[in-house]
Amino acid sequence: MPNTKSQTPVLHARAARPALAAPACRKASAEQVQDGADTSVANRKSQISTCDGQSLKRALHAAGRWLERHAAVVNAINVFPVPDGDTGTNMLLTMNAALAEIERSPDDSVSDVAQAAAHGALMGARGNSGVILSQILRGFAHSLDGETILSPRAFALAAQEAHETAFRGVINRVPGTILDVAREAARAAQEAATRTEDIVEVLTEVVETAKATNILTQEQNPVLKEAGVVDAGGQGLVYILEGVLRYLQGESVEIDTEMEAVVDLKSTLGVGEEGYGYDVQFLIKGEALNVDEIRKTIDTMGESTLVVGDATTVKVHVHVHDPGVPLSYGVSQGVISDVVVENMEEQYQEFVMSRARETVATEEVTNIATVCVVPGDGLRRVFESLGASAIVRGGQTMNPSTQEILNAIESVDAEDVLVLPNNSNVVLAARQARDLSSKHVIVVPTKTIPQGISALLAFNYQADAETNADRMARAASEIQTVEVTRAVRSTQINGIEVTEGDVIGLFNDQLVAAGQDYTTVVLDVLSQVAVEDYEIATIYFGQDATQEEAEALADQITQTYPDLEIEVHEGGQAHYRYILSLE
Amino acid sequence: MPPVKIVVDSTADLPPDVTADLDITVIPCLIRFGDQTFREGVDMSRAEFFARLQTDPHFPGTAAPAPGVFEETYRRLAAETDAVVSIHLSPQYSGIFNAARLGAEAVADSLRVVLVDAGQISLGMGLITMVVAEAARDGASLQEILDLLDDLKPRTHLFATLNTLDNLRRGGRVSGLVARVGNLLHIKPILHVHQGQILLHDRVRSWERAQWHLVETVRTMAPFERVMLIHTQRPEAAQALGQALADLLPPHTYTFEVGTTIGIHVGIGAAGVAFIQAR
Repeated sequence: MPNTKSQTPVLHARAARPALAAPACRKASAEQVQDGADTSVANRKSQISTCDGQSLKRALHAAGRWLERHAAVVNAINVFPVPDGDTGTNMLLTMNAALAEIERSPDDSVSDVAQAAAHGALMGARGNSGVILSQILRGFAHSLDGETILSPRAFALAAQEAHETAFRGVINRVPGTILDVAREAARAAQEAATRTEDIVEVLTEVVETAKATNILTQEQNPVLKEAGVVDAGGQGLVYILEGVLRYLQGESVEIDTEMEAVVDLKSTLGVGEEGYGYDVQFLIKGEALNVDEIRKTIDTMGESTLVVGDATTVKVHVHVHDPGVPLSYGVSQGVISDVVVENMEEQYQEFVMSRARETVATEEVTNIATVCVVPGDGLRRVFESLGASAIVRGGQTMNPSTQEILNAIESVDAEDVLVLPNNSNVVLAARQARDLSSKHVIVVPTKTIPQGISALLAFNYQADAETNADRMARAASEIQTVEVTRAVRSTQINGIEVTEGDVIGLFNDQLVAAGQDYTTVVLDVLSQVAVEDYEIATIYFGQDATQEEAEALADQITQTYPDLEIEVHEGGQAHYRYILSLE
Repeated sequence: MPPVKIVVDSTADLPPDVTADLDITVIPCLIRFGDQTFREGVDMSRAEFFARLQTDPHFPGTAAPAPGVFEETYRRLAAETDAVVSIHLSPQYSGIFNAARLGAEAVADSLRVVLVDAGQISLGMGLITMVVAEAARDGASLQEILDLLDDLKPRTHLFATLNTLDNLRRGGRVSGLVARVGNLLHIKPILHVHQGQILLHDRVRSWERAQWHLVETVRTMAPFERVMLIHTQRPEAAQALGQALADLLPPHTYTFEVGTTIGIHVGIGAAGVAFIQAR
């Protein structure tokens, strides 16, 4: 392509070429390029108004280091399109591949540096954001072909082509992404280039616009809005542009003066520069504690250090990879207490996933609702986790009314409704509710909680209501239910003498055992079942039992049936101390 | 006319002897543990990978091959052929397809590259790729290969039971599906992959019952033209499926292991069946 842009008149540096600074200390990982001796700008205070190949090279290095400083933040806000928390890492690896190629390239005109960066990024692009970054650099380089000086006008044209190339590089474009940031940055560059011949002024405008545009992404993309974050790729591009500007302005990218907001975000997320580790907090109590000395020592162990206190009590907070290190040190200084150790990776993952939970992917949707009658908060959570659309509270001795079930049927946003009564005494009320409703309602006559869980598990998002009702009824029939409670009156059933207050065991709603103690009765019921035919027993303990008691029961069952896998869940139901399922 | 060349990315999970035999060019995806990056099937064996998956504190990341790697590969093939059929994972699940598209555009002046969304993952894609590569070896034209793909895709299914939901959850790619499985009970989801959709076919609480459900479903879809038994570090489960389906298996039914990129997302201990239904 013929190139005439290099004839554009440009002003030359209004300050002397930047003095070469000493190489800065920086972590070098396997992926990172070797720092050239001239890439640090830590000590440079001068400012330049145009940019030759050497300066472009250093500016891109500065951009890489600035992105590196903020990669963890970019990772943390990565919820779109895939909430896997690696946008910062991917952009950084892509940028590092570009920088490594620049180092390998023998020539350093603006054109050569840009070409090398583009080639390196193209070969080393990682992830969606990395691919887009590679396309930005490709367009940028293509436009700068033959240029020796990066004038404001050349930059503006290159920014425009960078955006256009990146735009073409994405198949499924949605509003509120790095593409918007690239587009607006290019527009700002063009506007600024008509007003000034100073590349620093142009970049200043570009960075301001890029930041403002990326803030808007949160409003444009519903996934970002839901998660309360800006676009991660867009933010990565902001850091890259900002790094370039910082270099041109003679500001450091090594010593961070604008980290306040970032530090705040990072401590919220528990994401450190070194990746994830442990957040350790404790108090040291003693006599004549040396706060300064402790602070100094703790500071060498990790980051985000906070050490405050006096001669008798010192509060320590630090992020480390091995919590044993600061804790052992604390013990050497005095008596430690109030120890809190948190795994920051777990917190971080939970944070990202909780933000991403509502993300609706491109998957099948159903318009069939399920209404489930459930006693107890624990069981409610189980049913909700399995996708129950509405829960009606109720069960043994607290049967819900027809009206309550009908209200739930009417409340769900679907015309097809499947009702799971989960108790033999609720089936009738559910059928009455069905007859009263104008919706298409099918009652799947589940008689116990385990049957209901089994039925709900069998719900198929692709099938219609009738098919689902059949599947669910069949699934309910495949599960065995054991319930234990206390007899409310003396009686004789199935040849078993029951005295009021006895523990009684029911197998699929039939009384089969009675005794004085819960564990004995449960084992008695199981002895009447071919337990070896089943793989998993699940114990849902009621509101009168504790987790420990349920686990002790599980241990007892394991001793008798070592092949049976046992899960314990809080059911929170009244009346039944334990509900067990066998499947 | 030189034969059409078949390119696929490493998520097709075909073993190296098969790809070498059928002259299939495989472009490796990238696996990242912390700061270290590996090319799938090139820098790290599956055994090493799965051992590390269980011990490394970092949950690995996966990334598509760079557009430049596709471009380079296509350029190399341009010396041998006029046409390439490049088969990849659906763009809705991965950036691989887009990277391939950018690579193909860069070589458009010297080579015809037809990109195909396999509508499948792992060995579902591998199966389609094998059949197409056999046709290419036997001299099928580009158009014949594309027609064959149109014919194969609707007939190709993959069913698999996952042993754990953790990997799918952490991988973040099918969060809607993951949310539907439910997180309180230790549920084994049975996934069904067909025509680009990854569907939750069933949710079952015990492995044995899940496999029984899977076999029951698969049996209703017989007869089969091709079948592959697949697993992640659980050959005995694939073998058990083979026994349960023995009367329906066509000749040349292989048992293959799912590779590292897909393995990260489905986790260890998964097993299933990929098949092409008979016409």
